[in-house]
Amino acid sequence: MTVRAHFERKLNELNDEILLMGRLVEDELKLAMEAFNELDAEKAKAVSAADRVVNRTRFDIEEKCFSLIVTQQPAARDLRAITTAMNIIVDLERMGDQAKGIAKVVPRLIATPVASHPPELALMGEMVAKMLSQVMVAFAHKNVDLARILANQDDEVDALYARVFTQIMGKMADAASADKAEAAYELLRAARELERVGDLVTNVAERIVYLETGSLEEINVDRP
Amino acid sequence: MSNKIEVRDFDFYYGDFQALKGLNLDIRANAITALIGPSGCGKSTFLRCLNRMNDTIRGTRAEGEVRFDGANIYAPDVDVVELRQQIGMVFQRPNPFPQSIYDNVAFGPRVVGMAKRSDELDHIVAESLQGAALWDEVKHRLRDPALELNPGQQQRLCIARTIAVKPEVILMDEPCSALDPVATLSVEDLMRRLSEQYTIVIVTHNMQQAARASDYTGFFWLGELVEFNATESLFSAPKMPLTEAYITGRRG
Repeated sequence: MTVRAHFERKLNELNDEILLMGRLVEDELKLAMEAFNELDAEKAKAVSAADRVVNRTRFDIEEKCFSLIVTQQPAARDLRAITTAMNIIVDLERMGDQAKGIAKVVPRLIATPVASHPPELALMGEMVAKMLSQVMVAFAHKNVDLARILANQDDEVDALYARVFTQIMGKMADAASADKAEAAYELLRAARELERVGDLVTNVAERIVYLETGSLEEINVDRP
Repeated sequence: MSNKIEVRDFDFYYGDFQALKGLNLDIRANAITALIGPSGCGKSTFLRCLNRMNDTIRGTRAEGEVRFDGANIYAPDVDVVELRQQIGMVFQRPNPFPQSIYDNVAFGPRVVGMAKRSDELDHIVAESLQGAALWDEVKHRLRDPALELNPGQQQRLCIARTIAVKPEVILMDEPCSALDPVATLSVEDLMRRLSEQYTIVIVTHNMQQAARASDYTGFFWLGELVEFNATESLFSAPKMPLTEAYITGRRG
């Protein structure tokens, strides 16, 4: 095998490992949302274990990136592929952390239940899960158009978050006790974690655009 | 930043063979411009066209313009000796004369008659050796034979010899290919310092050297300039597929 062919095989392996890491984070987020919607303490605990696997995977991939940089001294698209990988794994790892944050809310909500969750919360969960899965498809196929669409979808997540925020503020204001107000706040924390996942999907989408076009651009700039 | 050299519709022939085809590019003043490309692509030929070094080869012919500070160096009235004083060259293998360190550096200034008194010549020699980052290593042994220096020192001596005649542009033809990594880095450091005062054009086969040591890079292929851009852009996101293929090792 030529040196170049060997390098290309390593780059393909890197690609596959990122897709695998994406799957792990999707599963972790799904588990966290199940734990949250069903108020299931066991599932919430399992999220922490899943997150440790995600974190370890991130370091494994990062080490491979370092090794490729040192041994291959990549340029042009090869270099972009590796720096993109290094950025995406950090974003994915953070999404895992957000999922863990959602799971952390579960025991508190079990201790002090809130009468009803804003329906937008579950919707946000579904939406960011779908965006995450789609952005990994965009990465697999290096599909810039899909990446751009997904980055712009984050606006819808933000809009849902704004609605959740207003409702929870109302709940906190009307809360009969400090405990109830705190429980309502836990819901807001979960919503905030989901909103962050949406932002991180946007980051991944931006990296896909960079990988393909070589231009670093912020696709979905915060609008006032 | 202004252009020191402007190349316009430049063609170059060795007899019937066209070695350079329709080149257009600007060499920025006080910058380091690297020329890369596979062997035989024309990059060294082009470098040697910049101070008409190819004139010494019989049967060569140039068309188009190479403007140095706005004036075409291929105009009939150009004094080639004076041109080569203004646009000096450092070669692939260090080639000190079999003379003392001092005499190597003093050679050009003596020929050109730059110094009237011996203390003036001493000053030029010291200044040039300092400029080439060699002074501290040789100041106590200026009368020793230059060939006793190690290869890295010899190459810096050749650079000192080049800058002794106060050129404006320094052309370097693979100046580090015969040097070890430590000596290579010292020459690259020196290039960076020299670029504050001089305009530098370097031909290199070492892509990492072009990437780390230059401000602009031109990629040559079969006598044509395929792409010319800021070094960072060319190595991170080349515009032409051929550049991409070459710098990632798929072609070449």
